[in-house]
Amino acid sequence: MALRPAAPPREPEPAYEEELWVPTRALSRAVLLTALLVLASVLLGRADLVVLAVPLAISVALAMTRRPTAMPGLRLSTVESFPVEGGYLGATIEVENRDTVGYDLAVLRVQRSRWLRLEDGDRPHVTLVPRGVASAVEFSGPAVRWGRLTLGPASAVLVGADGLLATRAVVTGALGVKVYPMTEAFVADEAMPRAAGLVGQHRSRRPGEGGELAGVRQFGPGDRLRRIDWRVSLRTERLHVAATLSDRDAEVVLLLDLLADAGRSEGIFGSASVLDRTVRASAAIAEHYLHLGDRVSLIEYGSSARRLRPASGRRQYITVLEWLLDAHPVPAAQERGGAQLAAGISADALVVVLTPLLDARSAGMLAGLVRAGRFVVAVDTLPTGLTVPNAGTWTGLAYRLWKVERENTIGQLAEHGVPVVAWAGAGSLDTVLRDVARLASAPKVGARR
Amino acid sequence: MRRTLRTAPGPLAVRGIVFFAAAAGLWIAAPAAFVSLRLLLPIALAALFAALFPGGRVVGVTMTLIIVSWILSTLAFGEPAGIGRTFMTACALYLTHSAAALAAMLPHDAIVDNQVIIRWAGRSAMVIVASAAVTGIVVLLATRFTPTTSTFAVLGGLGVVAAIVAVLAKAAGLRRR
Repeated sequence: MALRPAAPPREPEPAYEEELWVPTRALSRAVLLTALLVLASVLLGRADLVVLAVPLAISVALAMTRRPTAMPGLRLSTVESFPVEGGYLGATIEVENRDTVGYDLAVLRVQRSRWLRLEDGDRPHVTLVPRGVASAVEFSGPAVRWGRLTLGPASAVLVGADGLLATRAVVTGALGVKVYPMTEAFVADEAMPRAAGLVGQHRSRRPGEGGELAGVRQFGPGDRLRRIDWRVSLRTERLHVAATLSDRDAEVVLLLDLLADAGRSEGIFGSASVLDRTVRASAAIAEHYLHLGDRVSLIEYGSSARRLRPASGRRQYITVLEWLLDAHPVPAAQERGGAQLAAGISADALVVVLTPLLDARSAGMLAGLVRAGRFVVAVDTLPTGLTVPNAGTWTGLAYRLWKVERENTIGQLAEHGVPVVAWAGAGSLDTVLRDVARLASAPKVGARR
Repeated sequence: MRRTLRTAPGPLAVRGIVFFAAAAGLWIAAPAAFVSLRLLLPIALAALFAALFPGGRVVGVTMTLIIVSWILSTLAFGEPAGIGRTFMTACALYLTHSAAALAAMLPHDAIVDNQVIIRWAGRSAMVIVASAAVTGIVVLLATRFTPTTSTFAVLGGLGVVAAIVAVLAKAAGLRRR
């Protein structure tokens, strides 16, 4: 009885290397013309036709003696680890010759996100790849918009044997590049509506601006000059500051309205869309309050309804930036009301709602939050100078009517105790924060705690 | 228009070499009876097509035109095939082919490392020098280098045909394996 092998017969491995290098049209042309010339010389008895064929024949013969066969190596890499929009990003395509002969040239291309403005990145680069050497082409340019951007894939077409043989395109994978939003300069009045911890009774364990001495440490960026401990500094000949513990325990909730987007996003050097302004303003506000030692949390008002738990410190700031990278406007048919949102927000928290007020549900949500007793500040993120595409003779009138209606909504919100302030960077919220703090100090009836 | 504006100097220079080599080949190979300023226009057009489409069949057609023109001028018009003119035509033919092979691989908007073109020029010069040596040997060995039948031409031709068959077999083997 014949026994069958237990394992299936091994299939022959595909010969990638042989298939990779293919003859070009130049090879067939040279061979065909040389053959024709020689045949004609034989048939016509003409030695001059042999002379015409000699350079073509020699070039083909020389080229065939240095025929490449191996698979080239291709690698795409980037060196930037923490790029912020506007910052420069470097990328390198490296093609390695593992063959015994040199390649005539390599045509390198890299695809990239439109927000990565690599210098000459939209053009192919042609470089020489000698034997046993890895040639690299470097690209550099600014990342002009925040987000999860892609760099790659990169492709290479290699040419050998004097242009008579070429490879099919060798392709790498794509790289993900995280570009964090640039935080606009933001400084706000420290008037918080209500702190959870009372000053003098419960000191915080977190470092921050306060009166409780935590120790003496070396001066670092961001430290205030009035905190310098001159005696220690003179003794050690290095600047030292008196580190204190935060005596504030307020929570700031940033609520991002992602129901709709408007405006044209042109990156850091051009106009900003609603989403751009929302993300950059959120990053700036979060940075400010986290630097003061407060807890910051983020909530998305949109279909995905993401939420970032409240926390403080430098790590939370990085988490906030990561969280913001995934912010995308997604229209939602059903969205939670203000009362439902308020159930998940601490009663003492300051709720900063970043909204363009494009959707009627946003105004309803704001009113609902205030009715639930939350301290709400609305930041208007609609870009100034918004242009409307002309769809007909009534476009201008319709736009003006919409603007009037929107101003009316803002007025109604103000009557309900929701100050709406346009985002303008530093000092944007100072006036309204003072108003909210004053309202918070007043006795409240029926506020849910 | 936008595509033209993106053209980079490196590929443009190589295509320029294709143009001048093809034009020179057609001019040198043309029968003396037809050589006039009016011939410049069709020559320039044929060379321009070869330079614009170096990866297409038009290069082969232009090179065939050079060869046909050469055969016509020496066979039909009885012009002498001097060694200098023959070698210059051969060089123009080879440079048209070689520069077109390089230009076909360079995208029109590519940024080309100078070393690529310098190396190509070096290889071309080496082939031309080697061809000059072979041509010299042919001239020394041939008793009479005229466009008439000779035993040397037949024997030499058969030898090169055998070499070409070998190269063809080698090149075809690339695809078959």
